[in-house]
Amino acid sequence: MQPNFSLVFFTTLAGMAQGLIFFIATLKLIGNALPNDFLGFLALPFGIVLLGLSLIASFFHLGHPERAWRAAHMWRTSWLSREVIVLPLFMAAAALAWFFSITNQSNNLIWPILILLSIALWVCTAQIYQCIRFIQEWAHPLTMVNFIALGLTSGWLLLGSLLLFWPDTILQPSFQLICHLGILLLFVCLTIKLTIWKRNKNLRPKSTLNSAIGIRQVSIRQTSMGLMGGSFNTREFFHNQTETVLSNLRKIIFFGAYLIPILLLIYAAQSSSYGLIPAVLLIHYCGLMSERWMFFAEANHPQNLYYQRIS
Amino acid sequence: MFNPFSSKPVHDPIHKISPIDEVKKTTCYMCACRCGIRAHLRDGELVYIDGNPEHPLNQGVICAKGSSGIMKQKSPARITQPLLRKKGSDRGAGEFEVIDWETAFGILTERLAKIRATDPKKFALFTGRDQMQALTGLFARQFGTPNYAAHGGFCSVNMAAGMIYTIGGSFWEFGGPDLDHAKLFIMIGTAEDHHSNPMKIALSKFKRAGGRFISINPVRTGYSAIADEWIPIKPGTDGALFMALMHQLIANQQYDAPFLERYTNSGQLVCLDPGPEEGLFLFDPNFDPLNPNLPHNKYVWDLQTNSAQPCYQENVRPALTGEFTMGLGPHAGKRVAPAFELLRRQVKDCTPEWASAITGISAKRICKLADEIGHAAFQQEFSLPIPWTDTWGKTHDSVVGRPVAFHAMRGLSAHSNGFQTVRGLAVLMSLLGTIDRPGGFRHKAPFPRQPNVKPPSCNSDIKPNTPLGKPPLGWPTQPEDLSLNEDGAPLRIDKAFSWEHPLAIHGLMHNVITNAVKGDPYSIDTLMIFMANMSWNSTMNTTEVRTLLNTKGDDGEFKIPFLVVCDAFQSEMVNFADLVLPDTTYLERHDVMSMLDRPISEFDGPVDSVRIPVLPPTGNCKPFQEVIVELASRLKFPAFTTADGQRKFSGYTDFIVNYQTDLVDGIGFLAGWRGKNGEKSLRGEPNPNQWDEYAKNNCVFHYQMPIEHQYMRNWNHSYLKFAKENALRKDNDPIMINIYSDILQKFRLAAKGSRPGRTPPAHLKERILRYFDPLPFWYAPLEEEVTNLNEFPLNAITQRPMAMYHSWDSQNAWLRQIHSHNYLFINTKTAQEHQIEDGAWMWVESQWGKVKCMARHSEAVDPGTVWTWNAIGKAESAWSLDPNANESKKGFLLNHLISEELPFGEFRVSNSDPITGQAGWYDVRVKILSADDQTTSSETWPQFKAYTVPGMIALKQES
Amino acid sequence: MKNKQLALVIDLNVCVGCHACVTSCKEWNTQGSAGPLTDLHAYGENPTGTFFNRVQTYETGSFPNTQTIHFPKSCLHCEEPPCVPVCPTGASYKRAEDGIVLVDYDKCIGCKYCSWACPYGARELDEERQVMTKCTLCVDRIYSETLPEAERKPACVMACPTSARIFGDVHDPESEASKTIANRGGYALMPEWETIPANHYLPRSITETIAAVKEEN
Repeated sequence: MQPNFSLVFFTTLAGMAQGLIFFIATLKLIGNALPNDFLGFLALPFGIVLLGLSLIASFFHLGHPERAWRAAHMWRTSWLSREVIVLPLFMAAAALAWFFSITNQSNNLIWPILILLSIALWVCTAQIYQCIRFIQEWAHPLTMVNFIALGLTSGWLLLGSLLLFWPDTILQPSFQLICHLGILLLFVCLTIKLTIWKRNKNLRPKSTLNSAIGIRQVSIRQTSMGLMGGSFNTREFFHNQTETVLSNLRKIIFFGAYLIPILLLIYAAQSSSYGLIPAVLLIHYCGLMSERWMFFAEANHPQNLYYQRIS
Repeated sequence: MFNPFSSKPVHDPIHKISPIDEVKKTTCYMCACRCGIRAHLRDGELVYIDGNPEHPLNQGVICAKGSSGIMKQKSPARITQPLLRKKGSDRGAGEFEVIDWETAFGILTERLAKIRATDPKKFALFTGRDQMQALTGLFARQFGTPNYAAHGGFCSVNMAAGMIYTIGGSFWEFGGPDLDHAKLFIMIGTAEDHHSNPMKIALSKFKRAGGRFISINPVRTGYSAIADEWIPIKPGTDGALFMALMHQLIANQQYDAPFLERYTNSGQLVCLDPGPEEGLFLFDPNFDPLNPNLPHNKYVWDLQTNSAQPCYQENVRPALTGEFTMGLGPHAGKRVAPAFELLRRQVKDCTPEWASAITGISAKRICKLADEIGHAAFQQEFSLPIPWTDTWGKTHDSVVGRPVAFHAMRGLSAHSNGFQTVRGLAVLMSLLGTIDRPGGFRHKAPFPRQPNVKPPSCNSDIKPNTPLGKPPLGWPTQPEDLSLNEDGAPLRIDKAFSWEHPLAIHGLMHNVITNAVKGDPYSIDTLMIFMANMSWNSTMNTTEVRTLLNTKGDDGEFKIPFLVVCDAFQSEMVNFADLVLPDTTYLERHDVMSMLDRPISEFDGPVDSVRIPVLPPTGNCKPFQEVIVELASRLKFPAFTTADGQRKFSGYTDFIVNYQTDLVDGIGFLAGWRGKNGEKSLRGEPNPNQWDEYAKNNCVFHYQMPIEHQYMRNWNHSYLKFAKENALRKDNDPIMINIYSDILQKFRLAAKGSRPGRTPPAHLKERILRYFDPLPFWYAPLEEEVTNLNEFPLNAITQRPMAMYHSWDSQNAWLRQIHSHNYLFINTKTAQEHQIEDGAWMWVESQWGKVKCMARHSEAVDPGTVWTWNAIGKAESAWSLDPNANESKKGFLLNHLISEELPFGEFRVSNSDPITGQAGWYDVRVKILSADDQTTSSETWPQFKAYTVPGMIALKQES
Repeated sequence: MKNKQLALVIDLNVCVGCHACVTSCKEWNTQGSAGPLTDLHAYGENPTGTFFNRVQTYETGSFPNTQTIHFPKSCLHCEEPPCVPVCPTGASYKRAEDGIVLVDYDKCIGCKYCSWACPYGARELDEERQVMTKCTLCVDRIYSETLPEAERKPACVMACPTSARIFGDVHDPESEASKTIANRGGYALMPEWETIPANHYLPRSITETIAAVKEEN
């Protein structure tokens, strides 16, 4: 697939905001550690702005953004439709939580709602890709697991970074917890990613040129795809990068999204240099963007069988 | 109603756009097929073109090109104003000023009148399209210049000449395979572009009815893709295959002896004694020759009486084999043999093994093919209960069918051995008894015909201010018919009908520029070109020709002083003109597909058609035919001027209705609705409402002959009478099939020196002796004799795709998305041997030039052959494309590898067939190499520039 | 009786790759209710445009036993179209009355999700209009009240010179389309995805050489 930067931004930013709000809500449910002014003046607005930015990013992906309101219509069958309903709901709930924080009201219902909506949004977003059964790289539960895990991880690191900028030092969770849970989450993400990569490598395509054109001969080659200047089908579904570029990107992902953050967090935890946490977030996010780009690039659409060669 | 929760569609998929309100019928011109089309308009704007279901040729279908006619009409490459090259600027630099038509006509009339009054030969008119020749040929003839032809000499003259000299007809417009009744169809050397829709329709029906289709071709694309079997063959070797097939059929007694005896010259006796009659038929002075040009009074050897008898006698059993001695009479004592005997001897050594080594087809496969052909012809013989009477008065109550049919085209033609190869095919088809019989080959009106008109043959045939007594192009049957002046030098600028190209019946367009610049045989003053891209794909050695067009003499004048180009689009040629005349598109003009030319006849009878304008002309475009009629009138040609010196025709449509040929009255350009009230067909007085009748009848006139006239027309008594009465033919003698060609033998005798009359120059004697074999034979193409075959081991050929026609469609926004550039197709193994990867940059080189291009691996090509689509590659900015368009940067032309001349001892001869002058552009031999710099080569080589000219739609849109 | 399902049957045994179906479709639809169909860089480098139908070429086997196959491809109007349930606006829909799958251009938001869900690459986003487009089975011709009845068929079917495109109801066993599929072993593309395409393809068949010659060899 041709990776689309608006979708890369949308899913990474939204995922991160979801993770942030998920942990905020969880922490509020199990204790009352996070003070209202932290939530009301930094964390929640930050999360809502992130969600807003990601929503704007997603509009760039549309040919007719002015009709986007129609996108909620097919919620009965379309995961994209469901996402279009859940995302504003989630934003509304987050705004409500923000309102409660600003006005210092307490409302214990809002937190489980936020948790549920956050998970629902992950499910919707992941399912958009996972439900396309022909894209074998995506059509597997690991897609959703990966989305959720990365969202949680980046959200947790974001929470840690935001806490750093809050002058009040008596806070839960502690920065040690930020680091340790961060390392654990990153480790889990890495395991998931490596499993996914291994699975992708061993995938045997269900579709072949034989099934694509219905000819039973053993050796089939395409000599012409019937057009010579490119078409939507040669632009939307191909990344046009060399193997070298892909291989380098995988290294960037491995190091940037996972390994370097893990190592830096270990160091930060041992030496209490928690100022590193935002740096970890930044590096992780760069790796995350590459990861998302690669998520699209690694998907081999069966339609590509029909678009191989011009002559 | 706006309802956000409704599931109903908002966009109406059926009625969103208002229906089409007007349909006009006319004829397509995107290729030379000329299908009937309907132009659909909405509010006067052309929006859709489809096939006319009521048209006999295409029956409603339409191809990719026809469907894209709208984009041709809207092409930014259209030139819309007459242009004059700015004084002092270079040809090819594209510096023009806009002039008006009156000025253009003034310039031309003045210049042409001067030429006509002094030396008419100095005016040359060459056209790229063959289907307008009745008018352009008339113009040249009335002007008095022999220097006229269309592009056939460059394209497929061998196919026409080889077959017409043999059976009186040929493929495509002249005749074709009867796939309605055939069981086995063999298509040889046929590319994708001709003859298009009717072939597609027929082939599909044939396959669905269970017919077996074999394709013999070095490449498997297009039609060959749906063949039941593909037999790859080395280019230029088909002649060897035909010789071996004839060898097998004769050895296995699988030939139609009764057909040969009765309808061909197989039984006619050829003199074997050395001397002036060697190899010629003997003539019986006691019998009427019937046709003095091609006399019939020959002998056969009657096996019953064991004596020579006049041929055509009813109770004679002619021998086909053996050698005899003439008895008492005017030829007493002469040794003779039937022509078939000589054919039998000719093919004796042409075994399948011999042919296998040449063609690359296994001997086994050749034998199998011969068996299949024989089986289809003889074991699957059938008859149709159609009574007919032959020219000798015998009635037959049925017509025999031998259901094996053939089709062939440029793959046989475009070689310097093409004529004899095509003759080989025609003789093969005749041995099988399939000529004008159901399931075999059938003629299309006005064919069958045999050679009758002759070109000018001496200097005195060309006089100032006088129309030619003989047409510029004709059919020589003896050396005396050649176009030579007293010194034996060629009369024509392209040297057609000279000893170098005696039977060049379509001229040699590709020689004109080179010869004119070299002044060999002489220089000319004005060259007028219509719709021919002679500085690009309609030439060999493109680079050289472009230089030649700019060559000046010592006096500072161009060697070709005046160059006029008429075209509808800014082709590469337009840049080189001194005067540019903008033609209309086919949708903007009247036009005629005439019986006097190359009509669109069906097997069952003559068909002619017209074009009627759908849209008004764009800008200042004027139909070329109007220009011709206008010039002819201003120059006061006799056929265009009344007895009292007034203009005879107001314009083209008036000319078409009212012009009648000199020879027979009542014959004009259009055969339909003649007579004062349109009640006559084929022949009759001019009908002033003739155009309206065509307009009311799908622009087509289809005359269905009675069934008795539809078969065996070469020898069909009532058909021959009908054909003469309606001027389809000049004579009504039977058209005997020439298994043996004494016409060729006459030239051979001249070269031998044993014949009185004209003799060839010394340096051409050996050549004529060798190639003017009265029987078909195979020889390696001429180019191979001057090529190091080890250094250049591969054949390079081209063909045109179904979705593009010549160089014409790169300015079509839709078609160029299908073919925007071209690759060189190479067999995978061959490419790998040369380390050339799929899609990689590479060089292809001949001894004459080299080209850089991209490679495409293919299994559908013979390993010894490389090929590409012709005319996809363009000069930069030609056809109003962007300077970095794929056509110029990634596309390439193979023509740069070809030379139009070959060294011949200490002389040079044209790189063409020694009999017809057909350009041998499939003969070139090449080598291939990987290009060193894969990453930095981003464009093909060589690169050329073209320029925009004033009045182009593209420029108008900018301003 | 199952609902009507209109579709095309493509006969690969007679398709010569002439592209008539490609440009006749383009010219009908660019002026019709489905249009306009954009062309970008029409006279420049890498010209590209919206077409509903493409003809491709494949080779199988190796020389000299090569087959060249010309392969037209357009929307297959699947009976279980994966492109319909994923569309968030309902712009991608399958008509109940005849089974034609269409795009409602006034609802489409150009998110391209439906094209991801099509394994055949049958959909093209029109670059200028920014809506998804695809073969409409010339629904504006089929239901036209002004075209003569014999011409109420898709433009490509009318144009095809080898009659390689057969149009009809594949749920009606008496239709020419159904009969051809049954008699000639018509097949669906990528059956492994169970999209149940309504369009079918007819395979190549070779008419063999005569028995007598076969035996000898």
